[in-house]
Amino acid sequence: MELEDVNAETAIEPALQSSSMMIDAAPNVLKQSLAERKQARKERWRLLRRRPGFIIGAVIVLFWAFCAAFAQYVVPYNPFDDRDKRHMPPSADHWFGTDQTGRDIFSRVLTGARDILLVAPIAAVLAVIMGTLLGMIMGYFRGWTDNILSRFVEAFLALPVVLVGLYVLTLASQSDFLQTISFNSRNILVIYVVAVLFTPIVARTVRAAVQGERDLDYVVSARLRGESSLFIMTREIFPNVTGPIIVELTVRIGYAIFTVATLSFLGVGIQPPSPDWGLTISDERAVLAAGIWWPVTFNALAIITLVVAVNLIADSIQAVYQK
Amino acid sequence: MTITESTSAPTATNALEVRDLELAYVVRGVPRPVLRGVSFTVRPGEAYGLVGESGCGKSTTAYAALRYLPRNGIITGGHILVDGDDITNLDRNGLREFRKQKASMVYQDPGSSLNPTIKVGKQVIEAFTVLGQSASLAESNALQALRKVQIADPERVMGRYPHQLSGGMLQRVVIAMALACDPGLLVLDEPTTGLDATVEAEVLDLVRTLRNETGAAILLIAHNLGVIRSMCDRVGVMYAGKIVEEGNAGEVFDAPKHPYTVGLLRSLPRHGMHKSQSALSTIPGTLPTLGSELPTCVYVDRCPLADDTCRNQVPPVVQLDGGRYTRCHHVDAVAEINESVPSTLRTSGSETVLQITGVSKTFRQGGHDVPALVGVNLSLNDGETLGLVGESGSGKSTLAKALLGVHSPDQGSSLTLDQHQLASTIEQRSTADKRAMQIVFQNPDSALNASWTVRRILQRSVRKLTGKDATAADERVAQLAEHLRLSPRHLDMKPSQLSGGLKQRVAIARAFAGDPRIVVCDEPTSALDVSVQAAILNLLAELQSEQRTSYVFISHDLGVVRYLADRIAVMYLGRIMEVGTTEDLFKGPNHPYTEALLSAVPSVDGQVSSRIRLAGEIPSPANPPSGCVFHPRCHRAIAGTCDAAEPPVVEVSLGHSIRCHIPADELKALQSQS
Repeated sequence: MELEDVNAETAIEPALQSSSMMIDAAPNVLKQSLAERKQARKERWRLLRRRPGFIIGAVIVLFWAFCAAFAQYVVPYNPFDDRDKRHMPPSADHWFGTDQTGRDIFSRVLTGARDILLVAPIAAVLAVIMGTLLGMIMGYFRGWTDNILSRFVEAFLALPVVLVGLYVLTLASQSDFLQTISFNSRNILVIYVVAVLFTPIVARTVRAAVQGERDLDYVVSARLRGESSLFIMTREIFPNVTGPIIVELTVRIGYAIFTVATLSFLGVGIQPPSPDWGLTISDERAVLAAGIWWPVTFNALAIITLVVAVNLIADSIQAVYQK
Repeated sequence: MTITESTSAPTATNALEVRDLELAYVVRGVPRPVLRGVSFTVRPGEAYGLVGESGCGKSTTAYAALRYLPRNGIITGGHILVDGDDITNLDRNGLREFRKQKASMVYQDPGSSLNPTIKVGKQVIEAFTVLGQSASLAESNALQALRKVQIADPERVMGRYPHQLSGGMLQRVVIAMALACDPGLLVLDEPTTGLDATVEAEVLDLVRTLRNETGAAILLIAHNLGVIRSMCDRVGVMYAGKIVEEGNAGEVFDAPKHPYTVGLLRSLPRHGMHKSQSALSTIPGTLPTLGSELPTCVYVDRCPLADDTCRNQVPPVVQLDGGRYTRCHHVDAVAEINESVPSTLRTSGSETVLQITGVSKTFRQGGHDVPALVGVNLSLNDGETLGLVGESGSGKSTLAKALLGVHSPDQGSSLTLDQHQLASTIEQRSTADKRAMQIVFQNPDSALNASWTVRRILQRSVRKLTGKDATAADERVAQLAEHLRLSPRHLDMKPSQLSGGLKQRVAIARAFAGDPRIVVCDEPTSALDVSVQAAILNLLAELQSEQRTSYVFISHDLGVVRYLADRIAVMYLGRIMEVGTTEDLFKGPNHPYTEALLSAVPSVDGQVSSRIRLAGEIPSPANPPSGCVFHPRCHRAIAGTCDAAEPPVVEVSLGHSIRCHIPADELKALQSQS
């Protein structure tokens, strides 16, 4: 039956697929088998493109990614240049107004995407890599290994991410060791810290996915022909849990952006003179009470749009993978 | 048989009338026809059965009868009348009222028709409160309803959550809820699929009783022809969205008049058929693609009688005696369709391949010892099939896994393969030992890695088990594929692109990758349609005959076991209760448990079984009954003996042993009476 279902599936949407994929008779369906993985991806892509949430999210994220890469060349003012006109409200000259040293906020908001869009996604990718390794080991070996690792993971999960981040990053300024491994770059240190803090959450998700797979008969069958645990984990199980891992990655990127912005706000994340959003909000929050709303508001809006956009993408990917 | 000729006057309105129903599923904007003009009537108080293989549209018909259709299911023609009212175009509110009052449905999986987070009692009561009854009235009615479905202790059951009840019990609860509104029509969609034969027999008995009590008409969907035969007055055989033959259940099954019915019946191992006598008939080809154009006879592509007439003209509806009809151009030739092919199989040898001595397996669960296997002794000869039967929970699969080393058996257990001791876990066994014993699982979906191609699956097994290099392995894969009748194009597909039968072939090919001595088959055909099952069973028998492989064949289907097995072992609560040749086992005398298992099977041949019904459920192995573990459910238990001492294993005749206190002669006398 499934064979026919595949036929039906592929036959139905000829308009969106290349003509070679149009299937009428059973034998032709087989031609695709080589390109099949590609086609599954294509199918998911097609489903994604149908979701307005994904489109909106993607447009916003692409916009910020563009800013991160090229904003410095296109903004009207140098974001680091001080001017006499301090705390000017938004005007035709300065669309978002100016800040406490007279820098153009519009230019700073656009260039401010750079650090966070570098730090947060890299941290999330690292967290997913480490979490996947850990989660696969926990899910596959179960028993004592899982018990011990799980307790660690749970202990880690109980700690508030931002608080621990704040603690470690504050210590870091005094620690020679941390300064050595971070090559003296604050951003790299932030990446490490966020990645480590996110690892247990990813590990738990991957563990659950691996546990669902490991009891299936194909794993027993692999054991019966004498495969090693490493082989079973990496070649048999891993390809079947990539869906949840990709979903986890997109979700984690959203959280990482938020966390990095928070840490910067607290003064331990991205450091001045970066026009980073969290940092700027922190610098300008005191004048909010004086009615100078624009420095905080436009930077906050930047964070909000980016986080919401990433979450919109994450939701869509999740929905598509769970079909 | 339960033929109660419909007593209603011909003028009475039919409980269900389906007229030329055409239905399509819209898949991405394109309607794909599923039902192609289905017409049948269910008279008041009648039981009507729909049979056919999966994908023929029988479940769709059942759901359509109550207008439970998915959003993409659209009725493109015809009418559905329930109790004389046309429900084809009822709106939401109308449907709600209709379902509340006139008809109910029972689904295949009772576990998923109940909400796992709500106590059973509340759910049953709700079935009455939606009818507008007050809380207290609904509660008393719910209790009564549960009593009516023969639940002994309804108060206790009402306080339970669904997961705390067994499958049979849940299905009773669901039936009780379905009967809450005293419906004129009860639709049962595979109500006993997935239940043990003993439980199935009980549920079917219950449905029969309720039908007599309430006078409800029944529309029964089942793929098990025996179930249909034992339950229904009339039967419709469906194929590709059309009823190809309809008539009195007994007549249709005894003298089928449509080639498809003939094919279905002949693919079943029946009349005590054995692999050594004849191969099973199969239906060539596969079901037509969903929604494909079938302008003339729907069965033409697979029919042995098909000729140009069949290809060019719509077959006439041939009316036969007794209100029967069949849609076939060649009704007279149907009886001449060739019987099955005589078998040319070699018989089993006499050399012992595997000796199982005192194998026990105790699991630790929540600080308690749970003995899942207790002192199992069995032997297996070369080229022999040992059938392993018993209800679920009897330890069949645990035994299989202990043999394979997936579970390591307890201390003192001994497994000898070709005269040498096997290590207890698979990881400790040599490659030769791994190669010698392989398994075919019940569910090929989970047995095959969904992200691997068939080629990779087979190649990996060949390389790992035989140590061949890549080119030699490729050759072997091609050879295996040919043996298993997988075409080369299947090799580059992933399991999800294959049909159930093909997937199972891949699983079998994998098991045979290293020319094993023993293959454990764990219910290999229970997820397959009968015609596919027949092909797989033939294939297994052929492979065995060619390669002298021994099988440990686990199945709950006694017909299948009887066909394939040379010897049968009956398990209960981790113990072997009876073991003997297939012939001896079906001849008797039997252990009372075997006797009950045998009589629980609904027969498609219409033989009236003596109906021994086992009381209760299989007890928990954590807390086995005293004495003979079977005594609480045994219909022949002797008080004071069976509950006090473990019964001895008595050899009734050479190679036929029974674990029972009752002497064999007495068992024989008792069993010939019933």
